Amino acid sequence: MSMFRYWSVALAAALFSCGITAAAEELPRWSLEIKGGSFFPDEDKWKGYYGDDKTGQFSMAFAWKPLRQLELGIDGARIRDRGQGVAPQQGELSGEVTLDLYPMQIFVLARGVFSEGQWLVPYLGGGWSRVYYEQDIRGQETRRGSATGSHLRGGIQLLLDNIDRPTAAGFHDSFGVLNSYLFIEVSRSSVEIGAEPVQLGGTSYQAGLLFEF
Amino acid sequence: MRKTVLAYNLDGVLGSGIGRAVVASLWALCAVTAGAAEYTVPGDYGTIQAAVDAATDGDTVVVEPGNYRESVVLRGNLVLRGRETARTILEGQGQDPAIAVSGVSGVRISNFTFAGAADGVRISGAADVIIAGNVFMDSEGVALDVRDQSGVQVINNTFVGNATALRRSHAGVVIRNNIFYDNGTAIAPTTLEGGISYNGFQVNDDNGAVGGNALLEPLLRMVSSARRDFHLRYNSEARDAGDPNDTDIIDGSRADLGAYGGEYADPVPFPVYDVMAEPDGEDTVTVSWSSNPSYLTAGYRLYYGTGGGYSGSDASEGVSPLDVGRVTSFRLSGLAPASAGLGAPQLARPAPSHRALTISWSPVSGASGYRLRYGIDSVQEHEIDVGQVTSYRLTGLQNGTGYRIAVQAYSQARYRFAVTVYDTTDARNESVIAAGSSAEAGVGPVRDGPLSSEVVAVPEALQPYPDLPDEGCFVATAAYGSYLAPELRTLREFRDRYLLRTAPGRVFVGWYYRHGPEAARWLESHPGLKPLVRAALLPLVVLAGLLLQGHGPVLAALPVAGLLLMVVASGRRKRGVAREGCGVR
Repeated sequence: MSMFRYWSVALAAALFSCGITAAAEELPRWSLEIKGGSFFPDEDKWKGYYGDDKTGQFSMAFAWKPLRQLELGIDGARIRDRGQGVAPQQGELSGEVTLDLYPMQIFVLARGVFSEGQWLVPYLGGGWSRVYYEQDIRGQETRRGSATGSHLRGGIQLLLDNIDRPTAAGFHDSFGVLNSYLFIEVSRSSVEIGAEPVQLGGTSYQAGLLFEF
Repeated sequence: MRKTVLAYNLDGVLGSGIGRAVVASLWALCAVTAGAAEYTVPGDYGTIQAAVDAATDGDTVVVEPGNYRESVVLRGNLVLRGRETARTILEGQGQDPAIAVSGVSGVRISNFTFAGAADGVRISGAADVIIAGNVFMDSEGVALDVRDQSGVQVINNTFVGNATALRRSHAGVVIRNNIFYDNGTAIAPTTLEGGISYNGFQVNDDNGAVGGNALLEPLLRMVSSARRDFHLRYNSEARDAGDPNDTDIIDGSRADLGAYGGEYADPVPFPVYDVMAEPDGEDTVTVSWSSNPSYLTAGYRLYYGTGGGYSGSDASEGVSPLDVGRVTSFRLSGLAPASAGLGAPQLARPAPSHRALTISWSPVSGASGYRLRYGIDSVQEHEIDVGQVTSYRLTGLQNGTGYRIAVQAYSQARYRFAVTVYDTTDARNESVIAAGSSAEAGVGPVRDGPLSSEVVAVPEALQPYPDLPDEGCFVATAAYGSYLAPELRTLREFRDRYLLRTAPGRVFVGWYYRHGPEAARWLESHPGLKPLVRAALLPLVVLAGLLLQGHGPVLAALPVAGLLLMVVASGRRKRGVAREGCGVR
């Protein structure tokens, strides 16, 4: 069974089982995440070409919670780095290369929620990943493509409503936000492409805000 | 910013009755003095509204020249004025007036150009408001709209090209010494006549209420509507035509009509434009400019210098600035050419890329520019003047070919010239150096420095990291097995250099990108056919390679040679048939 089919089946099973048990409760069902941080690519020569072993990453995620303990969602991100290529005959770095990665992930998370109003919520999960890329070599060509893989993610969420209740009430009245969290997250992805595999995955460290409604 | 005036140490006197009286007096003094605070835009505040909001009663807000797109609401009693009428331009936002005045008293708005706003200034429920020394132009609605029982004086303004120049709802509004030129309606409504005197009306569709002592269709002769310069020329009939009791602040004579007459006129002359500088000898430059035909113009000052300043002193005619009188061109001589003695730049190793080299070098002191020389056999084959930069990307080269490169500096003295105008008053008010008031010119011969040492560099296609496949080359990638195959590099380069530069080529590439992946998948599932596809692609690869190597003429000759062969073969066949025919006979 391919990775995609595996995750599709797992997702469907989770949706089905959770849909049965969650129907009666009036709890937040949807969430929106906005986050940013650093992406550390797995390719070990990255620093030599791009000047640093990490680059910036910005993401948004939208998720559905059939249970307070279970979350299913989709995550889109943008990662950009600018560096140089190599002149292969002369063996030297040269030119300008801009690499844009657009990872898209479908994920399932287990959340450690045991009571509403819980200050800290740990979570862990993973899912399917697809990375779209665009690599522009100045004055030469632009390469585009995509590759598929998987990822794991985990983090911890801090419930902000407990800190500032008036703002939380205002958020609810104005935007329908039931809970607001500040969170940090670590994500590890593996996405290979090519006959001589190139790894487009890596480790992301991000922080952001999560709004449940 | 607000000035602090209260700096007394009142310890010891606060407890006494006298002390309290002193404190009360000082507070009153403080309040009066602090009322004279002056704020500038954009110096103290980024927007006019921000400055107006920060100001308190009696303050002044001065707006520096510039274009402001704001709809300002005046909430306090203050003076709002532009630094220069012609160049302090206020445009409203949307349908809101550029300035709305409501429920205040003791306000003055002066020395602005209201240009293109739907409505210029709208006043309602206000008292003791002075609108003076402004230009209102091109309003699609009402340039100045006075509503309710507002007590307003509209003095010495110029209204040009508005749908309705001025509308008032009662006769208490004083309208004096204004110019109404080329408006739809000058003063509405016609039925209210009181308070209007000494105004000039020319080519309006409807003058409306003209009041007493009106100048109807005079020769106004303003300088230039196109430049928004509404100063009066020497033969204007609006000169000294205002109310005899009013005086021009600029020259002390009887008030003129329009925005540059009367008590609140902006005394700064309009800037000089169209300044040009033409070298006409080894050390001479002729500077010319458009005249400023305002009747107040007394003469011009010519500034010159090098290095971006105007502190020149080497011209035979004297030290900068020169008072050149009422001329519109002036020849400066004896300007110093550039001194010799440039060094050679140090070339860094060029950075290769696809059909290009990026060349960098060290700056040379005194250089006003650089020449890049390059070629395959000699650096004298090609020359590019790259200007005053120290890095240049040389494109259009052949990959795999060695290029000899050298750089040399050159210098020529660059002089900058500016012209201002000053007026006839004792103060000799002088215009500013605006964007069009200056020009540059090179003086003397261009002196070349020595060539840098030569370097040889080879352009080549770059390999990015990570070396990601372009999923555009679907069929060929499947056929050759690896994205990095040299045949694929040739085809990709052919695509980028030839196909994507023509409309039919781009159509083909688009079609191929839509259907190629499907064909590639089919080929992957039938690996036995890959050699056939490679064989089919071979002619295309060879042709693409020949074109990329610059053998286009050879390719063009092939069909011609084929055609010749066909003609020759056809001729032989005919002769053969003829011979056979003869034999039959």
